[in-house]
Amino acid sequence: MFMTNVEEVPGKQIVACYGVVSGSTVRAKHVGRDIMAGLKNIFGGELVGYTELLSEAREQAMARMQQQAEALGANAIVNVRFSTSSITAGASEIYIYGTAVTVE
Amino acid sequence: MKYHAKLPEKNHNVSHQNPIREFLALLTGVLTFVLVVYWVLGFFVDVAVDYISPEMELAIFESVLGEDEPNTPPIVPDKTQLAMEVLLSDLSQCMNVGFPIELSYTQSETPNAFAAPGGKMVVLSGLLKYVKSENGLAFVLAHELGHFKNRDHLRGMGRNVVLMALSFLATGNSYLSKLLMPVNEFQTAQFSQGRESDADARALDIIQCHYGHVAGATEFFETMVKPEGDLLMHYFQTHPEARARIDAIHKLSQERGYTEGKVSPAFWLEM
Amino acid sequence: MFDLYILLSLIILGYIFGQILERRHYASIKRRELAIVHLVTTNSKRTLGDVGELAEARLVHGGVVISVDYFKRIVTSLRNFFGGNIRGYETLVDRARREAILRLKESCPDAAQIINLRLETSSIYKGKGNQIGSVEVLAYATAIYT
Repeated sequence: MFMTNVEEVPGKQIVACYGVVSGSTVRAKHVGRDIMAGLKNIFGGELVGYTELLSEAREQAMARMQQQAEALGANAIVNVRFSTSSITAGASEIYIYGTAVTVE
Repeated sequence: MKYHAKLPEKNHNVSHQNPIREFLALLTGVLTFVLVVYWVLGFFVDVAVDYISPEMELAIFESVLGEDEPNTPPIVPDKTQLAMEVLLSDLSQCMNVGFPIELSYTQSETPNAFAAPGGKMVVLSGLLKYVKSENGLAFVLAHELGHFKNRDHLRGMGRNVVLMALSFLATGNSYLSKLLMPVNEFQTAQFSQGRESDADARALDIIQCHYGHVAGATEFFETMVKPEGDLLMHYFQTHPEARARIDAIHKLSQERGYTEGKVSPAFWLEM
Repeated sequence: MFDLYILLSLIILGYIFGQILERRHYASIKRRELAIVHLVTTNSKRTLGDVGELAEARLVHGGVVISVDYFKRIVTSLRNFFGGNIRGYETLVDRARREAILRLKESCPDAAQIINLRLETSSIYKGKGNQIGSVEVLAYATAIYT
């Protein structure tokens, strides 16, 4: 499945459009990551645990969006946009949306 | 370019799982974790307690608690207190606790006696209405001596700290730890009842050693078997049932070959 | 122990009413989506195909705030211990998003196309640390009239 965040898939023609599709997940951390983050708050540096958590969440959200596009019959998603927000303490929502199209 | 007006049949953005099942699974997971970790940390608390010598305990608690008595203010030592102190030091000959015990005799309706950290024993005057002879009182004092010997108060405190920290860590907010409160109470009660039975057994040995027989040991519990209102419920939540304790003491006496003899009269009635 | 009973009854109340409201909301969303599915919506900056004579291009929006029930809150607290997907919140933001987009579409049913759809999500805290009050979703786009 082609995915771009511009108006079209470069080098291809859009022949059909299916509207806006989206994928989202809400993920929580667990106490192990929490404790590591607490330590990092003292020493500084990248929170590898949280980075991994959000990467996994993003992959899952993207997979869901692709599933929705495939169910509609599309083979590409253009104008993909990402959005992360903190829904509750210790959890964040990853939301990805785009326009599902068929390209040739 | 054609627009296809379609809706997806399945909603991919939600998980299709029964919320009740998820809730129960999570709750069971958290409870199991708390129980297991409590068990493991309790083991370490025991190791730590064995490491703290009686002298260290005395030094720590004197600096923390100071000279204050925990509950009711003490009265001027009278003849009853002095006689009790004599009895206590005699009993201590039979079981060396390792540090001096300070006895405090206080006026109160409640029939109770307890061991506090730092080697302080508090006896409440209400207790004297519930025992008929010196032996009965001696058993209660010996029971508290048993607690000191086992360092039970330290173990209890250590475990309480562990439980509070665990509940907070597991749930992250204080209002949810209320959900785990029955588990905490259960664990505390089970541990406490075990220690009480242990202290009973030690007390029996002290009584046998001091008097040469075990008559009068169950006097206090005999009066407790008839429930007399809420005053006593508090005492019994963390302790085994009175009937069960009497039976256990009789069984232990038989196993160890202790006999009954003549009880010494209650010295406080003559004062 | 009394506190525990209160907690349990709040959880049960939250679950029962939360489930009823959620099911009702989803039924309403599906019905309305079906009614307005013909309205072309994309998040591109250009119109889809040729729309001919352009009469008007207008900014439209739709927003909604949906609250969490007590059951979801408790499950989230427990979930924070083990990690993983929070199912309760997933349905919550899904409902909120679809509702916001529906309100946007229903505010301009006569439009030829809706382009450049964007969404903003935020949470409204109650203030004291962990307690989340509700989720707000705002959808905005340009409606093209011919």
